[in-house]
Amino acid sequence: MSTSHAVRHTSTQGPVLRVRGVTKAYGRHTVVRDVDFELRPGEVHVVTGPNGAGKSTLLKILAGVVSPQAGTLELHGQTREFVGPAQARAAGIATVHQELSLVAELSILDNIMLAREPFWLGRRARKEAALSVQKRLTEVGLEVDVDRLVGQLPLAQQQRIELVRGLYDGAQIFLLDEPSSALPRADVMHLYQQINQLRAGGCAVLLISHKLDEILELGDRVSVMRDGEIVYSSKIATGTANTADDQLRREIVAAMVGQTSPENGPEPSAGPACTRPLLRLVAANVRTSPRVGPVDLELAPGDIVGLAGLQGSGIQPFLHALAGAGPGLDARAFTLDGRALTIKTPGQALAAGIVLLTCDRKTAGLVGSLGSLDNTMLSALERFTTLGFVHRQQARAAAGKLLKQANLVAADLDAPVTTLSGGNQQKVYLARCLLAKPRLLLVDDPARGVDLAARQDLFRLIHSHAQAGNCVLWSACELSELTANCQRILAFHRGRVVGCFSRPFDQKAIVAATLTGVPQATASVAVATTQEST
Amino acid sequence: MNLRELWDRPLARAWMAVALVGVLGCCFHADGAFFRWPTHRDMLRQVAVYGLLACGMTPVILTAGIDLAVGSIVAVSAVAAAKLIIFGGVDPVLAAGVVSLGGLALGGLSGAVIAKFRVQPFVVTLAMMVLARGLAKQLSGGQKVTAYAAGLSPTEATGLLTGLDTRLLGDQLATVTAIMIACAIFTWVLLRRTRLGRHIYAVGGNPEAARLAGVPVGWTIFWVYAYCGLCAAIAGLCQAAQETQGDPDTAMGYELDAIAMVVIGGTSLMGGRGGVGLTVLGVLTIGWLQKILSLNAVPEASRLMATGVILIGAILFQRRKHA
Ligand SMILES: Nc1ncnc2c1ncn2[C@@H]1O[C@H](COP(=O)(O)OP(=O)(O)OP(=O)(O)O)[C@@H](O)[C@H]1O
Ligand SMILES: [Mg+2]
Repeated sequence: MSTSHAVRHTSTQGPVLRVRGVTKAYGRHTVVRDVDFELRPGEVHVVTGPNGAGKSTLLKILAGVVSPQAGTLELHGQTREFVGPAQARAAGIATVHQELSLVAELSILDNIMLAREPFWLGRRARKEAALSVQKRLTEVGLEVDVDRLVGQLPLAQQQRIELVRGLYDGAQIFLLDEPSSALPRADVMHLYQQINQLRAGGCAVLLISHKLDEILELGDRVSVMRDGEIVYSSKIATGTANTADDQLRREIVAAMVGQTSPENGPEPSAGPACTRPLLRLVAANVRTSPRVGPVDLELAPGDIVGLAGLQGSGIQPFLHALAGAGPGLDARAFTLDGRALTIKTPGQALAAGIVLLTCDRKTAGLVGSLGSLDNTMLSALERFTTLGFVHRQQARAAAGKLLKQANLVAADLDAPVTTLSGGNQQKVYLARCLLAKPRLLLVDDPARGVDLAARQDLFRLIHSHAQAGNCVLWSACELSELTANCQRILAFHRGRVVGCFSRPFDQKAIVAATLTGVPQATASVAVATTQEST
Repeated sequence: MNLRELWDRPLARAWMAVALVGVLGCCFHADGAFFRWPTHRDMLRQVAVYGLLACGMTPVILTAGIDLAVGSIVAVSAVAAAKLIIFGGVDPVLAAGVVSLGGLALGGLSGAVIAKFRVQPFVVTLAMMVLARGLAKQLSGGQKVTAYAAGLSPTEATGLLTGLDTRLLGDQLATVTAIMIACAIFTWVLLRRTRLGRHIYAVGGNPEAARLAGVPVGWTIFWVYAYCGLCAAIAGLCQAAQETQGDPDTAMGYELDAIAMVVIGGTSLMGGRGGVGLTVLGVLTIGWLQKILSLNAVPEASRLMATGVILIGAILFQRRKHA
């Protein structure tokens, strides 16, 4: 895992960027409180901590996006004013924000050059810029045409374009806010390489992350934030032995939650023994090109089944099709609770009891201008409505209860949901899906950007939803999330189901199946449908 | 490129709309009138004022904004130009300069309020529309500003007022049309070849992302409205020249025609998508449509209804599939 450790060298130079005593409050809610922080060249400083701790706010202060009420900033040893994003960029600070911030309507080239373009964009200047940008793109392993519109790229690629913007600027300081949370596995490795290259090139990197492995793999120094303060800070020694690793792990987790807690999900219970299947899917095909399927699936009440596969293996189109949100589904049989379904729109899916949590909460999930409560109610309004009138109190109470169970940290439940921290937005999104009480819940990376402790709460919510006699299809970037939470895992490869695994899971076999499409001979393969009938 | 991809391009669709109207003209050619150049020359003269407004409106709409004040700014400019030239005896070129700056300032004022106080463009420019109309009436004293009122004979109304209403290229092209074309080209360069142009698309597409990238969002909005005001002032000069007077009640409702032309072209009201090339095609579509209806002596009532129906049809036709 730690191939990168060799290139590390502890920097002896002074910090390139240092803030002292920064404080930021929104109204009466102090988000960052008297924080001292510094970045050194050739060093990756990881910041972690629970959702809503103020990590992103600290990063935004450094990036000039948010101006603090108090504090001083030193850049290369010189005291500077906190100014706007343009000046921060000019000073060599590159930022990858937690929520994607590119202009979908502009081309890749225009996005990368945005706010740095010369006054006059002649054909020649454009061509030269295109060449150099293309080179940078190839360096980070993106083989795309610079004239493509950013909106047409998959999420994972969009993220890397923000990084390329920093490289193009020639930035020396990189601020990365949970850069790996939106990436599929293969791209994550690429990102790590990239960060190691930045370090080797003498750049200073601030990395916000919730993933312990990532922190230990990449970080030279780790700080834990809680309630707006840095409560723990430590160096991460190069090439740490496993025992020291464990020690550090425990310390970090303890600092985050104030106590030690297990890293993985609750043990899934076997689910109530029930013979009648809740969901039955025979020879289902998704009308994409190339087609996804055929998928055969039978889920009993209480079942949580994982879908494992690489990006582009067809899991997302499959989930979208089930929820009526994408190209349609052809199936010989598609029944939920004994009723045959044809689903063409998300509305029909909702009425039939199917709800999808997409992996993209910002564009496909939440209504940014509405408050947390209103967002949570959105899919469940039907239940609280008589003759077109909504029982507001009832709906608010139900939504509020669920948000509390999800451990939401928010100063005001009616403030626009965009003012919540990223992880808290995710909790609101999951709460909305659960409040609709779907018979079949489809989740795609449900804990994206959620901190370690709150993850458990979210997983517990999903489990208790399943236990109430519903079923769940679960997709995630990390296999360990599936193995910890699911009773069975289907492996997808190029649009086909190539294996069905059950407990105890053989991780290697699953990975092999998703990579090659050929399940290992020894793996506990069974045709998906045969399992329940026994 | 296959046909389908071509069809997904807004430019191809805008051309289709123009072509459809052209076919309509060929069918209802009013005894061959549609096949004679003077018909088209006149059409191009008649749409020039609208076209100028639409060119100024395009960048505004690209930032997801709207400017309702342009009709009123046309009136102020026409009145001011007539006043300066006829009553003040000011050199026409100087007068044109002063009037243009005035338009720039009025537009800029809207832009400044929108950018600085984050008020919605619709409201701010609505207020500016009323204000500028009032200004036009104030300047003119509620009367039409004519040579006759100044005690001069119409032929004595000097220079510019008549100068703009001439034709070029051996009578083949109206001067105002040439001005419109120049304005369209200038706007194209502005949008495609300058930094401001990129910023306009970025602000319209995703203002937050633009801000985070370091785009001066406020200034971009300011310049967009100032430019729209400038175009409206130039349109006002053309209007005054064609009417050889400054009428404070002129150009009532022109802003809606300008917006319709931009939208018919295929520029999205949501911002970030479109361009001035599309707008020019939109101007041609509507201009030709009107010309064909009037050539065939369709009565005004039916003409308005037909225009309404065709506008809706054209917009449905332009509508882009959502991915
Ligand atoms: N514009 C705003 N208005 C009001 N409150 C805000 C605003 N931005 C952030 N906050 C609040 O500040 C707190 C810290 O948010 P921040 O985004 O820094 O958290 P975070 O540590 O990045 O969490 P996460 O891990 O979930 O991303 C949150 O409670 C959030 O609600
Ligand atoms: Mg955050």
